[in-house]
Amino acid sequence: MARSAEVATLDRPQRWDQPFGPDMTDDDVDRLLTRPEFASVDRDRFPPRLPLEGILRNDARIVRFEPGDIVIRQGDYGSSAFLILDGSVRVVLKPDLPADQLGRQHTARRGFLAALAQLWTNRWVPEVRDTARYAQQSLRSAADAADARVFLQDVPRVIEGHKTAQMQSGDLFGELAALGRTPRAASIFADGAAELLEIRWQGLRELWKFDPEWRRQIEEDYRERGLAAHLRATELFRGLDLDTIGEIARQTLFETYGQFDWHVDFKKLSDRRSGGIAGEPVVARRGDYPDGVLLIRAGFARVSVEHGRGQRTLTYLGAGDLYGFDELYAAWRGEETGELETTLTALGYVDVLRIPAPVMEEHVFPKLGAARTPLAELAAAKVADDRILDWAVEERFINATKAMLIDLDRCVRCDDCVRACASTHGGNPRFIRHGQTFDHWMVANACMHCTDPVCMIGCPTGAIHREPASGTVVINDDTCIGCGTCADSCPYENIRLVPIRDKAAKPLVDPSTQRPIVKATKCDLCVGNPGGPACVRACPHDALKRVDFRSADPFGALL
Amino acid sequence: MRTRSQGGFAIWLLAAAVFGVVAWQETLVWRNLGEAALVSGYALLGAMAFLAIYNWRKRLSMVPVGAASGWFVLHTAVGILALALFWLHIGGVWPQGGYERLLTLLVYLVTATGLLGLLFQQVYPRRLYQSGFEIIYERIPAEVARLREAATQETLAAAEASGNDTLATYYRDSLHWYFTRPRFFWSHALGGRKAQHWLEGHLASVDRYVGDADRPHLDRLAELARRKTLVDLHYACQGLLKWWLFLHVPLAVGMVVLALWHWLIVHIYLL
Repeated sequence: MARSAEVATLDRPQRWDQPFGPDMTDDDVDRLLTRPEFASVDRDRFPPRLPLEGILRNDARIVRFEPGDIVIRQGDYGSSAFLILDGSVRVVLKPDLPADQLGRQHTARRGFLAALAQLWTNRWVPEVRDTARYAQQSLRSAADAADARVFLQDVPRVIEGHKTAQMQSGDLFGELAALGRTPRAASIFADGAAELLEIRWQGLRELWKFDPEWRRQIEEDYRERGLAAHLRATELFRGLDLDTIGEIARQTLFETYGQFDWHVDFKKLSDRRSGGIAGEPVVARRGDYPDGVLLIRAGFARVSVEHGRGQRTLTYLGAGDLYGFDELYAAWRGEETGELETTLTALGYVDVLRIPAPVMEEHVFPKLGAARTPLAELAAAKVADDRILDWAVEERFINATKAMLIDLDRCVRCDDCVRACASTHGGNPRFIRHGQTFDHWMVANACMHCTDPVCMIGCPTGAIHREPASGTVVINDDTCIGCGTCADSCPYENIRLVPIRDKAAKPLVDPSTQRPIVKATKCDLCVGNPGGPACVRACPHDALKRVDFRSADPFGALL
Repeated sequence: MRTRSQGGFAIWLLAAAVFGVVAWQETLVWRNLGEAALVSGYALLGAMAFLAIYNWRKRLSMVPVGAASGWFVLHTAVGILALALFWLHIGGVWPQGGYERLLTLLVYLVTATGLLGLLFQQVYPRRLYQSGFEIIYERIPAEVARLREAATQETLAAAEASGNDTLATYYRDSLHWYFTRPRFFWSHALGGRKAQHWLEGHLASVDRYVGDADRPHLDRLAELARRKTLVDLHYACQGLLKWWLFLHVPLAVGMVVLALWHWLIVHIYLL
């Protein structure tokens, strides 16, 4: 069959095709360059393809906040940092702002009778809402839904009732959470009109990488605010005194591999398996000599060894896990040469702390007993036994803390789980009994309540958030504006936008556009309902469980 | 039934014990009073009431009234217990009298459909996952329509590419029938390979007439048809996994109604 010689052309997509703030002008950039934070930056240190002007133009945007607007909320996941250009903001130190003031859901646990009442209170059509509740929310709408904000009604009262600290022009905040993929440590609101420069993580990373002053400030902030506590929480350092921990913190190096927004590429690739390990940034390679122990701070990394013509996945590491320890320790004891026995690659994104070998040798190794089990011993397992681990890693199910795992060998496809979910959620199920399968296992399309909840990045009102007590990711229907940011971000397609109806069961439409009003919905593990997830209880064959893929044997839960 | 816990075993043990106690009590009553059927009759009525509320359990998923898996084991064990009690109650396997025979027939049909459902639940899940393909039952009509449309388009594309009607004629005479709706239901349900045999035979019959221009289209048609076979397998197995309940539940309702009438009549005559 003859094929046409004609081809279509397309400019190769570039990093800055989609600027962070489309309204940034050259004047804005010039004004920023006169500020001390950027005037002192040595622009020659930036590579020609990533000039400082380009970073400011494309990876930053100027945002103006009204008095009382919440800039960041404690517990949120964010991908950007803020530099105060004008005005001031306040950090709420203690007590924390109540959930309802932050635009979050107040989950009251229902009693038995209240839960039972759903039998007759559920409407005959799904997704009915009491729209009067929406009017009571402190929501400041914007032309662009992504710029909508939750604001505090009574700022003086908040300042009076809470211990707060003021931050002024020139102060930077939010950078640790943005670079470290950790929850925001505190809530911050504008206590007057404020102008802030929001820098997305890509730009922040370049500033950290190429400008020593920005790097020094960010690392100093982390050493001061978070690193010592992080090290103390790590089992290996638990017995050390505060001075030693401080010394280790001073010498620890910070490294980041992969893409912070890995989920974007992950969603785009229709055949993820074709990428595999080959496309993953290498953190450490087998055969190299480690110059320190790597402590995973955020994200995931794959541990693999060469096997035949490919790489065999032995395990994966997440926050708090160590790499290179066994080899370094064995070398220190004179038992082995110290060569790395495995290769470590970033699974999408990984943030690591490198604790130099001399520090380990001086402060940690002398206090340890027998050597631990090297990772390479995992290679003794049969290749066939690794298939399921390989699948979980490839599909990034390792991110799950509550994946809906269905044993298809037991599932009779009766849909009792679906009906149970629907009857506890006003008539519509919050998951689809369908999903990726491997052998007789299926991970259904239900929210997995991820370790790294990328869905929470970018929610303009903070409607999607973690419940502080349980860690369950929930959506506050009252403050959800249906922008779809969370649904677009979810790499597993587990969030759905549904059109809603008023109490008279009439479909709700936006009068200006005549388009339906939609809300984001997803599995909330039946939060508030007695007895836990209804889907699990409803399965007559024990075929469905909610599992944490980081547990020792997630599949064992069903055996 | 796949509850492999010790709890499941205990439930079966308890059902056997209940039967033993009822049989012993009935013997005692028979020795002392001569009319023993009341003991087994009331035990049977209690068992039937318990079996009936399993359906209500499914509607109460929003409240913690015990895991459905536990209820299911109980339902099965009490179902078998009820059959044993029934035989004890009538003193044989087939009673005298038209009404009693009708009731007995319903008891047997309810038990048989229940056991059939249990058999389906043991056999079909494995067969379905081993097919390497998953589809939601309600999506099957749409999937069949999609496959049919894709096959039709493939045939048209073949005619356009090759300029002859070899594949088009073949599709009209053979595969169109296959793509119209789910086929070979009972063969799939019984674990046969009639569909695969039919399909491969028909594909082979046209293979030697196909030229180079038609070849990729035939390969694609074969791919679509093989996927349709998997869809048909799911249609048959998932259908039976769902539809046996449409026999079991109405028969059970009829049985309970007749049993209540029987209970009323017995008490009217006793009084």
